[in-house]
Amino acid sequence: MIFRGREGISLQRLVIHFKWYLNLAKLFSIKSIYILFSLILLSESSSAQSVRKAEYLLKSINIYKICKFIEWPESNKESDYFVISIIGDLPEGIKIEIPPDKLIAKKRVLVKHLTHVNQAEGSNVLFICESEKNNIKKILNFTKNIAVLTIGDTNGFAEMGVMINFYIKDELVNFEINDQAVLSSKLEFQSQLFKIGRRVQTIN
Amino acid sequence: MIKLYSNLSIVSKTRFLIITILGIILIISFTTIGILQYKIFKERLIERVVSAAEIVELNSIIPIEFGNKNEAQKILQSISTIKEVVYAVIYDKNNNLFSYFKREGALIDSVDIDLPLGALFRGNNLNVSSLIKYENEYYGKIVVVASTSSINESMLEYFYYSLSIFVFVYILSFLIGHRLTLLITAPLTELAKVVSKISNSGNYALRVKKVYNDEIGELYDNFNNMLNQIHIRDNKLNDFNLELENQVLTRTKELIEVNNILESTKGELEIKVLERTADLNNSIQKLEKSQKAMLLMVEDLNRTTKSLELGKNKLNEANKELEAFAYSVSHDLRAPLRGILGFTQILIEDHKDKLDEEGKRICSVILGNTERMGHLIDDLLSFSRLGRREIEKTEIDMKSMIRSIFYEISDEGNRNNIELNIGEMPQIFADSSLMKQVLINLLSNALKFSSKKEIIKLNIKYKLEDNFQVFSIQDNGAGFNSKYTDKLFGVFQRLHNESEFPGTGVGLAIVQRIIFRHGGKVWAEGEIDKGATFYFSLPI
Repeated sequence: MIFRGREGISLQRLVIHFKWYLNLAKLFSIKSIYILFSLILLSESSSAQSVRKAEYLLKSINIYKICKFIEWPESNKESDYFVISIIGDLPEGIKIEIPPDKLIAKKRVLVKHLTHVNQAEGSNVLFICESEKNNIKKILNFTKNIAVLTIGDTNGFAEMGVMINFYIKDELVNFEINDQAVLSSKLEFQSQLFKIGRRVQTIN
Repeated sequence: MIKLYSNLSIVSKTRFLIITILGIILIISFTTIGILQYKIFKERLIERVVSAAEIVELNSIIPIEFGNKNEAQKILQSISTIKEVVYAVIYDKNNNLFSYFKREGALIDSVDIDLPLGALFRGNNLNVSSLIKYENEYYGKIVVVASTSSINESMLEYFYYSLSIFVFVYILSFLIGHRLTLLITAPLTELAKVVSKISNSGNYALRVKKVYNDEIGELYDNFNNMLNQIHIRDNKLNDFNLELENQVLTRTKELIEVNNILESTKGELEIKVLERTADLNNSIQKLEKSQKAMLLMVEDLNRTTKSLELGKNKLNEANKELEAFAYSVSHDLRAPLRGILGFTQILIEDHKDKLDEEGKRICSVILGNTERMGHLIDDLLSFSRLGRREIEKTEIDMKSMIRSIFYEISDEGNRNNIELNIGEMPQIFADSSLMKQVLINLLSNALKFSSKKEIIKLNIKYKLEDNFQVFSIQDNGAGFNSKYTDKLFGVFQRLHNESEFPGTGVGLAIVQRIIFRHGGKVWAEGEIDKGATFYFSLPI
């Protein structure tokens, strides 16, 4: 639905979007989001910003779903919260958030922003923004020693060694998985996740 | 069936037995195994389909969660490796069709989403329904439908397999059974042959050869023993027969001899019988003659009896006439006697001064004789009256009657000289006045003939003898000569001089007559100067 570098949206697509939002809301089963989407659609239907917001909402949902099918090591369970850390800068006005009533590994979710990768210890998920493209090696070097799921949404990140990387295809948010990165980490993925995601090898 | 079976030979019976039992066992075993097999097939099918459904269920969670229908389709496709599965459906958490699989040629198009969870046989299909869940979160539902035709095919296969085994075992058992049966039946057949040979030929010297040491071997031994015994008995019987024949021959000879003797005796006997018969005939003739004579005699007797009866009747008539004559004579005699008496009294009273002493004496003699004559006539009259008078019987007390008569006839002056003993007396049933007459006559006789004794002893007794009441009156008077006992009771019969003891000689005759008329008897015993005893009896 969303194409990078392309602005504006046709009326026909809007209708499709509307249906998609409805389905999404059903998938999440959260009334507030459903109402929110409707408001967004009604007030800012033609805005590029609203499309971007929806895209990141979907990414948030996917993070939540992927996390459900991962076996988390014992050390991560000591904390009271399931911590999702964000390193780098998200597009302006965009947030990654999980509704407060949704639990991952039976814990409430806490989203925090990091300024340095050293702060990533104790996190379960590390979302690497596009702005950290040049630091990626440094970040991954740090994370390979801790049980943290690395997620990106930048083209080529998976090939660099990020475990999960979102991409857009056929107007849908999809993800790719770096097998090597996953297998060498301390996390255990449900095998079916590999079938859902596009599999990618590390390229040095 | 049983009748048919009973007519079979032992070989066939044994074979039939083996085949029947074997058949029953095989059928039961195959049926049991078949049922178990069917159950196992079903369980295996369930197991396979359920495990396949579980795999699909496990693998479809993430595709459902991420809405990836292609992946779900691929997973469903994997179930096709289980050939019984004809249809499989995955529903999402809102029970919408998410993905389905349908085998080519399958007739099924849809399934009931509300099928109960678990495995369920419905029609020719097995339905397996299961919820798709992950960590207590519901993602959807899976339904797998499998055809049960494979079970039926397997069962058919099993049936053909069993049938072939059945036939094979049957043929095998028939062949082996035949051999085994011969083991048992061959000795029996041999025995039967020998028995029939013996019964046809009667040769008890034949024996059976023993082969086995089982019950049949024992039977052979016993049979041979029996044959031995029969053989011995046969010989004994033959000897006995010969002996018997000899005995019969000797007996026959003896019999013939005896027969000859008997025949000769028979001739003699016949002659004797003829003689005896002739004698008997003579005797019979004689007897017949005497019988005739007897008959004649009886006729004579009858005639005599009739004439006697006639005589008796005549006598009775004559008697009656005599009595009538006596009565009329006595009656008629009274009138002249009364004249004689009257005139003699007139002569004495009116003409005594004209008569001398002799005349007076003659007159008194006339008077005395006239008085006697009067008594005589009176007695005769009463005697003759007795024949005509009817007897009127009443109850009489004998003791009081005797006592009153005694006081009537005895003088007051003499009574002290009389010892009267009256024994126990009964009541009698008789004519009162006639019995009084009897007692007066007998008692006055007793007193009269004892009057010369200083003390008169009178004993009056009674006894019962042969249905007769017997009375006796005993005195110690003059008695009588027992020679004249018969004459005592005749009319005008006297044994004593009238001057000695006065009387008419009619009293006892009257007594006899009265007693006779009562059906009784009168008799007397006595000796001169030793008293007399008079008896009379009356029937009860």
